[in-house]
Amino acid sequence: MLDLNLENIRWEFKKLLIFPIPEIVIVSMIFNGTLVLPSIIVLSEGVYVYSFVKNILHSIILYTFMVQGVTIGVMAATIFAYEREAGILDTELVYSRSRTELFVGKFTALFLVGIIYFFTVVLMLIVYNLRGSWLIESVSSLISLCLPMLVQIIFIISLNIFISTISDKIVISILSSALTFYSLDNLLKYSNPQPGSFLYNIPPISTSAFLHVPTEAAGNLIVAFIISLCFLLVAYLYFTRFYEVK
Amino acid sequence: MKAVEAMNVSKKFGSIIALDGVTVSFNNGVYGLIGPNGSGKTTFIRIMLGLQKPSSGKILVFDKDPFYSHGQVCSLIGYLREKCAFPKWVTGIEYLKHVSRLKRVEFDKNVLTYPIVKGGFLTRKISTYSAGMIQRLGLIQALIGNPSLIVLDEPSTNLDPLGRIELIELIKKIKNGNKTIVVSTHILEDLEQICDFIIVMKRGRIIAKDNLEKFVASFSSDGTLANAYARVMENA
Repeated sequence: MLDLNLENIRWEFKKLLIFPIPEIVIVSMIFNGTLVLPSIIVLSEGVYVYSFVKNILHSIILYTFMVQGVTIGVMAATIFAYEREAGILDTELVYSRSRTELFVGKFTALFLVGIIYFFTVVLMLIVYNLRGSWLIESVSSLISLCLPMLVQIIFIISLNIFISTISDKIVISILSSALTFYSLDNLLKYSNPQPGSFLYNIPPISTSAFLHVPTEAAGNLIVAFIISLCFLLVAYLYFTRFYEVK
Repeated sequence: MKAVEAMNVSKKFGSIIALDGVTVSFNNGVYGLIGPNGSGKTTFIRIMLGLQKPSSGKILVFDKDPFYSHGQVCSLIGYLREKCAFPKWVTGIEYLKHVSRLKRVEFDKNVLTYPIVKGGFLTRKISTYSAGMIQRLGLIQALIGNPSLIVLDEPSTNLDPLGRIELIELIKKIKNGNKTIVVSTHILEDLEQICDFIIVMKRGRIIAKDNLEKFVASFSSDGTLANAYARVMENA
């Protein structure tokens, strides 16, 4: 029977919220916003305001697409590999009723963060679409964007949990996760070149793939989802059966 | 029911034998675990608490396998890790409350009245703590829920002289007929004041175990634990 302790989830979630996400977003927003500064000189005030807002919104979407994988990867590496490296995990292992309870707590917290990302992006896209964004043209294009994004979040969490449970050091965990991700991408590219790349599952590329070759894009998503479940299962079995502190 | 029962427990790290057929049981009382560096004390403690898995043999803590599931008995255990570390983003009190909720026990504010945590530092973020304060927090979190088995690995590390005295007083205060306290340390003068039993380890084996008075009487020429320990190590 699954012995769930909500304290584990609450604690891990609180831990993840201390990551400097707002700072990263603000910096990327300022960076993207300043890209249009030269246009102030030649364009009217109205156009400047429009361009600036557009670039800020665009930067948030870009951030969420591109950086969320890295952020969640670092979070996963922190709650497993870093805590093992620092010795923080020892007391949690001793005081938890079972390792399953601890694993479920950490996974659920990461998944909640991923879901928050997901809804942030959906919200931003809806706001952005008021300006006539190319990303959302119909309900089907919204689904074609959201579904890959959800699978992508699950994939990134599973891969990073898997790597970080078997890693001793946080740096090795992060690097290994990135290399594994791109290795999988290359493998799938060889097996299914059009549009076989795993990166085709990452928005906004996936949107284009879905609109143009929906069957193959859906196939990629299913493969990615199955790989995610495998990673998660192996990580769970390793953590509950073999995981030892150093 | 014995607090800890180890039966022929061995642990290998590659070709290195860290524990070699350790058989021992802990009932009520204060046990001093001593031995040279690398003798297997910390490895034994980690196996006892389910942090590592024995290569062979069996260990039971309150009749449960500690590695796979503590189950209900997790609330009966208190543990101070060697070189203890805690999340730096919370205050000491927040961490103590977290441990209470993890163990599913009521947070007992009485632990905050112990002299070892005086000075009000527990209301500050752990990131601002000195090494000694972290050790003091570690000692107090091991007492949350009034556990029946308390394992202290190098408890006097980083403590100032007054802190060491407070630690000894604390152990004297909490030890009673129902508790099993295991203390691993190199400071034998401290053990003389608090221990009921002594277990000596060398190269992964237990080479001597007895109650403190008998151990000192059997091996020491000057009536001190340090002298008895030196004799035992010479003869082993």
